[in-house]
Amino acid sequence: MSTVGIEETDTGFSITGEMSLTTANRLLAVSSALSFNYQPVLEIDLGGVVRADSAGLALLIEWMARARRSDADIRFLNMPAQMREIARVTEIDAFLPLG
Amino acid sequence: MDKLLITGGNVLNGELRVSGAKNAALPILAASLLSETPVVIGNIPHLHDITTTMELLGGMGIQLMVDEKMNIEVDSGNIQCFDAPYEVVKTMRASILVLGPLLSRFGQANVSLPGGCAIGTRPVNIHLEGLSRMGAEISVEGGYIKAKAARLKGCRLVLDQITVTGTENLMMAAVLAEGKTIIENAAREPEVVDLARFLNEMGAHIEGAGTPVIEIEGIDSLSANGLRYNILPDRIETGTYLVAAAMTGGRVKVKGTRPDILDAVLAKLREAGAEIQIGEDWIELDMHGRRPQAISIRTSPYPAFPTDMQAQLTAMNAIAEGVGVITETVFENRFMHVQEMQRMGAKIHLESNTAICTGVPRLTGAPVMATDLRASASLVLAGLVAEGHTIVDRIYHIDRGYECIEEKLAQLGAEIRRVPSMRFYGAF
Repeated sequence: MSTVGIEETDTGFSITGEMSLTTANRLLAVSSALSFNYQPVLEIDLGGVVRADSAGLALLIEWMARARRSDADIRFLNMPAQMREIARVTEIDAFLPLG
Repeated sequence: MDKLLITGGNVLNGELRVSGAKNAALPILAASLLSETPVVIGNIPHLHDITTTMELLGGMGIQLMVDEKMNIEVDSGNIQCFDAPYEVVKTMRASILVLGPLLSRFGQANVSLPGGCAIGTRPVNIHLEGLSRMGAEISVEGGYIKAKAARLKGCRLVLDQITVTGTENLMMAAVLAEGKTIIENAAREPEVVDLARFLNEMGAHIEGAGTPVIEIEGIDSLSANGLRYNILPDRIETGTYLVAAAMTGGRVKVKGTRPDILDAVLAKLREAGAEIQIGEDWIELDMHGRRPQAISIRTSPYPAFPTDMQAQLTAMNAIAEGVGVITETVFENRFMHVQEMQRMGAKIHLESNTAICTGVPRLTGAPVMATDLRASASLVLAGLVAEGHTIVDRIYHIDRGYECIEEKLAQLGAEIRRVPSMRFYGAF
């Protein structure tokens, strides 16, 4: 069983659990109800992510696109090493605004 | 963080009662420091800033008792410390209002400097210069204003610019000073008058409040002698609900208010096409289903059009017929609501301190972010007339100045509810 949590914070939201093919669709649906219009920057804390796969990374790209549509800057905080490694292998690490 | 979820399109109809004015309650609570005996203050709004003020006073050792009607008995007979710490002041600039009373009655005060402000610079130098001229020794150390005085001495103070809290702070300081103090270029706001009335009822000798020249004859001590004082109604809250009614084409009667302190706002609402009737303590606005006409305003200190109503009128102009020009002269950074309204489809062109609004027939709902108290209110008003759903985020700003805004608007027929900060956990 895969578990995932999303919780609003003062500057954006934080993710805990798994960002994978199993949970990505649900996370996408839940996050669609959130405001992306944080000023000056929307921060998404990934410090609680225990495992990720390419579907999880695709979700980050979708959130980047949504932030752009909302005229907001976005930053991903505390990305775990395993997630960074997938980003490196798939060569999207250069595009991710990491903080 | 809670949000307000608004579904626009409902016409507001009905009656509501406004709360006491936050901007009068805060200085009056601070002024209770001057009394040697307990005083009871009524019609206090249930707002976060009031709670913060109570924490501030409580931290000094002052005894506070609150009854079920939000009357607060303040007994500052056993004050133990004279500090307003940074942790409190940074969340509420009005904390600076304890400086004058502490210094005047106890000869010492240690108050954190307020720091930055979202809507513009609001320096406290006028407070400090005035107190220095009255004989206080003032230094700034480690971010704190440290002030001392054996007994303040009355003098003539000409304020560089009109400042409400500056006038209030100096007026409170002068009450127990030796001799006469004359404050020239004083703020004329009704909340200043209410503070003077409160102080006079405790035995102070203040004349001219409500005019540019206030004269205070200092006395040795102040005693409430069982005084129960009711704060004046909130004119900005009143104005906000009237604008809400005007924007939705509705009919709303605001009770427990004071029409005589809203002349500039009522004149503009009439210009927008509203039919307004007033009584001694009520105002009724009827738009007869019409769309408001765009109006032009220029904010200035009382009795001119209040800066605290600018954002709400910007919201009204956004959906009004025609073009309205809004010029903000009081604060330099007070159009932060405009960008959010633009996201809802408003056609507003900003040029320096002027917003040129071309009214559109309807706005569209969007997630928007509150940036300050009155900006938040204006976004709620915009949401009331927008097609679809509007989510107003960061509403802690609105909770600082509007008591139960969603309940009061819902009572008038608005579809609005508070939704808690989102939290989701799932297993798959």
